[in-house]
Amino acid sequence: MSTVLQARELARYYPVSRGFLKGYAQVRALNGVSFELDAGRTLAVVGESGCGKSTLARQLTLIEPPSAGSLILDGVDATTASRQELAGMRTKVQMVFQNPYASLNPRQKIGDQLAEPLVINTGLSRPERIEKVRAMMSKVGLRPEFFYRYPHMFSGGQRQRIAIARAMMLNPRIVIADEPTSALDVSIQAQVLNLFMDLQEEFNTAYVFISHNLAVVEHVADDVLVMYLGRAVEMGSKELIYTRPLHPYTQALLSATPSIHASERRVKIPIRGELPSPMNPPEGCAFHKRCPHAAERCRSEVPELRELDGRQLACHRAEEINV
Amino acid sequence: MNLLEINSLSVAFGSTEKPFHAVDGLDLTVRQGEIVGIVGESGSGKSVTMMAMMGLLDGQGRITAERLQFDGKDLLTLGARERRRIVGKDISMIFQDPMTALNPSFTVGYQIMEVLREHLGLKGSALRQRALELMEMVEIPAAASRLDAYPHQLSGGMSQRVAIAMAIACRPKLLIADEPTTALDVTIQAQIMDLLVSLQQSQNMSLILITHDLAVISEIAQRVAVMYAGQVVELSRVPDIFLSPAHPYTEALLASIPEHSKGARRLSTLPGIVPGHHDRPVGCLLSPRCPYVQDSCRTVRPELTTTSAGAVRCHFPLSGKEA
Amino acid sequence: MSLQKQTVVPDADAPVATYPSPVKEFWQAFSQNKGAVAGLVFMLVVVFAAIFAPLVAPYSPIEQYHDHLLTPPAWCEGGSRAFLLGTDEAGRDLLSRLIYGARMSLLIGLSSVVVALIPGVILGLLAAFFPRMIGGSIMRLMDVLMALPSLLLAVAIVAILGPGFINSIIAIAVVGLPAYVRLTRASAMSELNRDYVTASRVCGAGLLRLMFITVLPNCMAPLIVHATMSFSSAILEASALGFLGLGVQPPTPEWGTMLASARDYIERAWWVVSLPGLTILLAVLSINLMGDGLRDALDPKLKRIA
Repeated sequence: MSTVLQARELARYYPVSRGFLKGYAQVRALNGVSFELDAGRTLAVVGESGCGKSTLARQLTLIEPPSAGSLILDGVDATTASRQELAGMRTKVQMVFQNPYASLNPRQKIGDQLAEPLVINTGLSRPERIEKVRAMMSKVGLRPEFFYRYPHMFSGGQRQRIAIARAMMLNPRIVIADEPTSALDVSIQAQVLNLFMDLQEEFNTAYVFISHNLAVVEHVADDVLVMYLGRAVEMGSKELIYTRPLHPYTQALLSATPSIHASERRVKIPIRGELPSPMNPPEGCAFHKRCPHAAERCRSEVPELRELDGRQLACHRAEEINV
Repeated sequence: MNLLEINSLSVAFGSTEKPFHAVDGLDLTVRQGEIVGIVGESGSGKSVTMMAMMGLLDGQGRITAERLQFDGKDLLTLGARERRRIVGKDISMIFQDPMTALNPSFTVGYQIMEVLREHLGLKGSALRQRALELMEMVEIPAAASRLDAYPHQLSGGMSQRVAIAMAIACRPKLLIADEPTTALDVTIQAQIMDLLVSLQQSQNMSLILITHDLAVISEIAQRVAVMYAGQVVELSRVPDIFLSPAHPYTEALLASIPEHSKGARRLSTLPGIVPGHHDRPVGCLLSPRCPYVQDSCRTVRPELTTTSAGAVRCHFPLSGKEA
Repeated sequence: MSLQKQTVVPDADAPVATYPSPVKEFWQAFSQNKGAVAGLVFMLVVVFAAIFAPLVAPYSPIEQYHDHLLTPPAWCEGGSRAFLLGTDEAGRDLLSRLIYGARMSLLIGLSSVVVALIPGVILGLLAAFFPRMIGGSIMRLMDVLMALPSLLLAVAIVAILGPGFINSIIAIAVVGLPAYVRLTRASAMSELNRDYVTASRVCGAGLLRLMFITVLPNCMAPLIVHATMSFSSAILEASALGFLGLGVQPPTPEWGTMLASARDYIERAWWVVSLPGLTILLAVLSINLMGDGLRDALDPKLKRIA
């Protein structure tokens, strides 16, 4: 197995105006995240809105340069790559968005939208492009006559298929999927998830699957990265995280996820309050204000990510609270 | 005692020659102090039903019903004015997106007080006192200072709490929650659900919970109505409906949840999509997608028949324990 | 609630439909709008008359018939069959002047719209794509232009460039420019935040492609409406300039100038004022109707499944 994506201490800060003539403050939307992803594997990034998931996606898709850290895509470091190298790298990482109603250009026919990546990145002739587009359309379950239609004629599920087809057109090594099913109905969600799995099997694509739905994540992921306020709090294989979560935030997330089967329900861990503002993060562990186990040390000292029980974990008291 | 009784409610849009029935012969009863869930995919008519009942369709749709009774009063014969007196006082509603449900130009305190003034005629300090009480009831921290906050200064979870405070301001007998947590994060969803259930119990309200999330319903509702293409296809108690669904659609819906196919690479899906208004089949509405379809299903539309657990609209209801 | 949302999917074994060419598709959508077709027909008549004016017009537009000063139209008392729409204060045939005037007026309207639209769109897109540096300075410049009274600005520009037909078009275009820039910038800014633009970026689309292929088509609706509206104001502004002696010079026939120079005769000879006014009204109305039809025909959301 080959590593296709490597992030090292990836960080992104945004300047935010503090008001007239008061200068700018820095918001640390992404604050040092590291991981590795192998071809054909799926890494799920889990967290609540505002935890930096989408910022991470913007770094991984090379839309924005990271403020610090490095990103190695298929052996090339994106932070030091030349313009030409970057252009080549763009074809290797593609993205599927959350809202299928916004991610397709309303004024372009489906066929033209699917052909766009080929127009930009390859020297194929028009008939060759049409050939490729039609092949991809049949692969994702779109009928050939959809080629000439506009996006508004499709339901959410079909639009998401189109978006997936567009992402797969260049046969990328990595696909970043940002909440790809959260806008869809359950039965459609199942169809789209199956499509993701089938395509992964066929093309050996690596997925970074961003989601807040832990039931979906459990189905698709090989590894799970739990984020809170721009930092990784727990990362490890899916089995480990789901059977024995060690970080209090992971535990809270899992317990908050509703379940159909009474036997599957976890003991509810009530967590109070909401995600603090990234503009004004708390001292010490970012989670301490909501954590049921917070101690003096958590309020003053930021926990570093460390190896524990086969996973990466950022909690001072993990051993004490998980006996 | 039945608080709400709906008998064969239909809502038709479009021309009289070729009407489109968004809701088609819907039966539903809600008892005092009961939580009823309505599940269905988008376009199944969940929200239209509730809007029709509350008289909020504004003449766009033509509403017919054999019986539409709330708290002993016939809503069909009531004039617009009397209906409005009930709606908002005895029946109230909270919506999916709390950010758009509140008016951005007024403080939340003003908006809560407006409801109290309109329906209860409160004035002066009693008004502010009651508004504060309501804010505390929905567990908004620092309620007194939040009264003067504008909606954009609150997070999604806080805004939804304010919307709930407005909804329960007049001690309604029935609260309709239309996807109240879809736009929120899991931990916040758990908080809001807890709040809704505890308010429902302390106020002895009835609660209709509209959602597409079966897991949420399975955790809090007592009875569930499953809707498909404008019809109720199954009506049953929790947890029976989740253990042994009688209608093939319910079964398929349950099977498509990732939680159901743990360990499997693919999820089981129902092929196709909900029929639109031009292509509704003659027979059972599910017949083109149903795995158990028989010849009679294609020609004769089944009626809702009462069973031991509730009611089901199927010629060949499932009896086994496949789910 | 909206019924449009429920997309209809035909049966899986439906025959593969064939597709009309883009031109045919456009005409199908356009011809459904009766008002737009009526506008188009009227404009075609006007354009035809303007092009073949020497053949269509009964008289020369500048020839003065001193025996027939202010003759009423043919259907009025005292009218003459020789002058169908009557004559003006100098005894010139109104019908011929209107026909010849169409040349000048349409040219002024069209060219000043185009001259304002193209740089307006480019500046607006630049301002939206680079909101900090370029955008800020473009928008401040536009604010300055908007702050000046439009006629005063036009007069100032013509005074600098010197009077004449082309210079007055430039002046009118500069006055109309800020509106296009603002419109384009506002709608481009809101489109830029949408995922499909990001998707294009992820595919590696360059700046020009993003600007003109991805974003611009989605900003067209308000631009088309505004362009058709400003067509009429361009004609009127051109006449104001003409009136001040800075635009088209008499005796060259031009609708706006005809209107302006006939003001003194409103009480005595209504037709000298009303007929050019009516012509401008009808032309503007048909262009607006055409604009609406164009906007709808170019909007894929209003098309049915082919």
